[in-house]
Amino acid sequence: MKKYLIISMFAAAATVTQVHAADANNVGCGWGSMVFDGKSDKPSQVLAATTNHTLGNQTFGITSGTAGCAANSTVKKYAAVSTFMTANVDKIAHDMSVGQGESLDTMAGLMDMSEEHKVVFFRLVKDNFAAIFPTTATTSEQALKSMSELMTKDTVLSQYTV
Amino acid sequence: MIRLWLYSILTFAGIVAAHADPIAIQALHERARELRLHQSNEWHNLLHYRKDVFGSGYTSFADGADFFLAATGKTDPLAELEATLAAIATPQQTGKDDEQAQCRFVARTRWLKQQLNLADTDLPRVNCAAFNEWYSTVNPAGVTLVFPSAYINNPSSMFGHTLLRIDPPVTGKTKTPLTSYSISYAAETTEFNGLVFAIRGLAGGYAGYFSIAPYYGQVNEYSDLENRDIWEYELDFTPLEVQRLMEHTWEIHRTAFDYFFLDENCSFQLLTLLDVARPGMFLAAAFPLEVIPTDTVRAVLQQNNILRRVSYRPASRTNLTHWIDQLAAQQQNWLLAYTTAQTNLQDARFTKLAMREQANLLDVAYEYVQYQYRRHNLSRTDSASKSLELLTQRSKLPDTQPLIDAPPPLLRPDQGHLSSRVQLGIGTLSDTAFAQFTWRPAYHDLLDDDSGHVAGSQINFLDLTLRVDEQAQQVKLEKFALLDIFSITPTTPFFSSLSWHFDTGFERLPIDVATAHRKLAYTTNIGAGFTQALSADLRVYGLIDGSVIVHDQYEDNLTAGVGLRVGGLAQLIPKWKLQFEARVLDLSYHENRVLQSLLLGTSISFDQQNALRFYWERSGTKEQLQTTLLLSWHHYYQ
Repeated sequence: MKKYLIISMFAAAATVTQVHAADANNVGCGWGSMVFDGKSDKPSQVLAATTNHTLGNQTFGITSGTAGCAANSTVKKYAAVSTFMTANVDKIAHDMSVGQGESLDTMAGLMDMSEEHKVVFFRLVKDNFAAIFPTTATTSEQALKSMSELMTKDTVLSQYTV
Repeated sequence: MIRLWLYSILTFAGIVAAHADPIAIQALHERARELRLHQSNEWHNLLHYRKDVFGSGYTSFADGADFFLAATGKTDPLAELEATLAAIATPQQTGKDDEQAQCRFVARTRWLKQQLNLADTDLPRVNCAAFNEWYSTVNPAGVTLVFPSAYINNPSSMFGHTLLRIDPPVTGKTKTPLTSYSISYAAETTEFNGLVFAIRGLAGGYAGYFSIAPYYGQVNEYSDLENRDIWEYELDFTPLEVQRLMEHTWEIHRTAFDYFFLDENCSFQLLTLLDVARPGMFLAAAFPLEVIPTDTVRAVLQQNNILRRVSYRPASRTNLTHWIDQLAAQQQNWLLAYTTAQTNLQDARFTKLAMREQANLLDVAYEYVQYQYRRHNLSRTDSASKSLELLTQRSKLPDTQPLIDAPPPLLRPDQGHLSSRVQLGIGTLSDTAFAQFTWRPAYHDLLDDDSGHVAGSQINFLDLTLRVDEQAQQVKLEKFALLDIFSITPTTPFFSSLSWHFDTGFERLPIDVATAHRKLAYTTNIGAGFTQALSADLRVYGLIDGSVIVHDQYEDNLTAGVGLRVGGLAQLIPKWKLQFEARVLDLSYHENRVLQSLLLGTSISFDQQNALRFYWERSGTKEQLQTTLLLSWHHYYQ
């Protein structure tokens, strides 16, 4: 009886300290992830917080997806916007529905947009939210494509299209 | 002789010295010796040397061999300096420019050139293409020390974490720190069990590396997933200091350091970077033993002309709590019903609201749906359809006013009580007077002032109490808690939290059935339960405990039991707290007895360093209860 109790206590300790493997490496979800896929939590990561660690490969490369594209600034800009969009799509979608916000502002900044034109851009994405995010299956890449198409048709914003 | 020695260094470092100009290099070496460059603080910072505890030598923290150009570089600052001079002054015959010493060790090269008045033309021409591309991509102009604070219901996160954010020059009206790069240092591992990870990490069982990644990734992780408020301390560095920091980051990025959780951890390594940026601060040298992230933030802020401004980035849950608190009861009800699919946007509780309130409620609902999804309380399908519905509806409202973030707490983490604590106490145990001394290297208990900390979180680490009483007149170990974690996080209709408890260590218990003498035993308790907030300043909790007591008096040397504890924690007025707790532990399965205790404690904090505390406790067995009174002075230090 005693032994079982002790074993179960240690089992409990091991359980609460278990770090969720799949969740620990969730920064930057990669291409084509679902817009509303969101991110998963680490509810039972008890000790990892004290003892910060990374998983597997160390990252020192600049992860804006610009490798090999240095010569072409258009490609570079698209990669930067697209990577940012993919990693922050839950916030950008919300900012778009409101018509402003830090993440949307940052994305406009990545497109080198002037302050006055940002206002036009924010209006455009808010008014056309349903066209940019038509269904729950929309991927961040599709949303970015729809947004670009809308910008192309706009007299002011077409210059910023990525 | 000197030439022979030099030659051997170069051979060791794998550098072809055939075409070197030996006289020029020798002259450089002589000048460097005259200037005693190898003894300077800057050189020690660049190579991460620290003075040996025993003897007069130096040893570098860096453990990767290719960080050193001399074979004895790890322990010989002079040999390393001379090897570096030889390497940067010697034209290389093979390999890409990026692999040359000048390109690999950009910060060392810059410093040596400056100290020895070397012009660019004095050294072989190199084109550091990889470094230049990296540097221009990061585009550094400013440095911000970032401190993600503790997260709710996870006391072990209380030590915090630090990283650096490298900000590009400000263009236009608004700053966009999300796309800045961040530098952090972490152990590299694929270990998923936190306990194994913690134990191995304490012993330095992992290699640590610096990494650089976009800051938004860090915000998403700390703010959204872990619900940690983030403090951003923008440092007042000159352009040259920023440049030195980045150039040094480049030269150590391939270097492994043994990772020790207590001392050579993330926060310590960042201090070494800051030391390189601004020599003379001696930040890393101020932490010979243990390094707690909050302490490193304080050490940085104690420097002159270091802080430009502080920003607060509340965690998702902090904002959500703030926003939900501001909703009317009807709106809260709708929100709960909507999230659990019991109602929809056609509900009168929603449709009858003014447009501003509708916009506000949609924003809160979206954030709450996202939160519930991250907590695995909503399925992907449910979360996706609700999110799309909420945002589409929101986009149709012309209102573009966003939700306002939760305001920062009155005090920042660096303004809370200091991390280590000693206390002196006097008291009585069953009318016998005693005096006691307690030392706790870290970090925070339920009665310590919560300013700068998460309320309802406790983590005591190596908490040691020695006591002497008037009868025995000898010093005895009263208590030694190796680890004592307690989290009382209130459950609300919107946020359910398990309160929990874990402690392990030595304590005195009335083990002897006949005499009820208190004897030193090793105990481990694990408990779980729930907490309710009766008001903003009063929490009550109840937990079920499992306990194991190790003592040689028992058969098999141990016994076990199940217990119950109920208690409460009140913030009476700012700086004055009160805790009460009643506990029973049933050991009757083996020895037919029940341990019980009733405790009342109160604490008044005066400043970051001083507090006064009083305890009354009645404990023992039903037949023999003893009363303890204790008055103690607490002094916090760093």
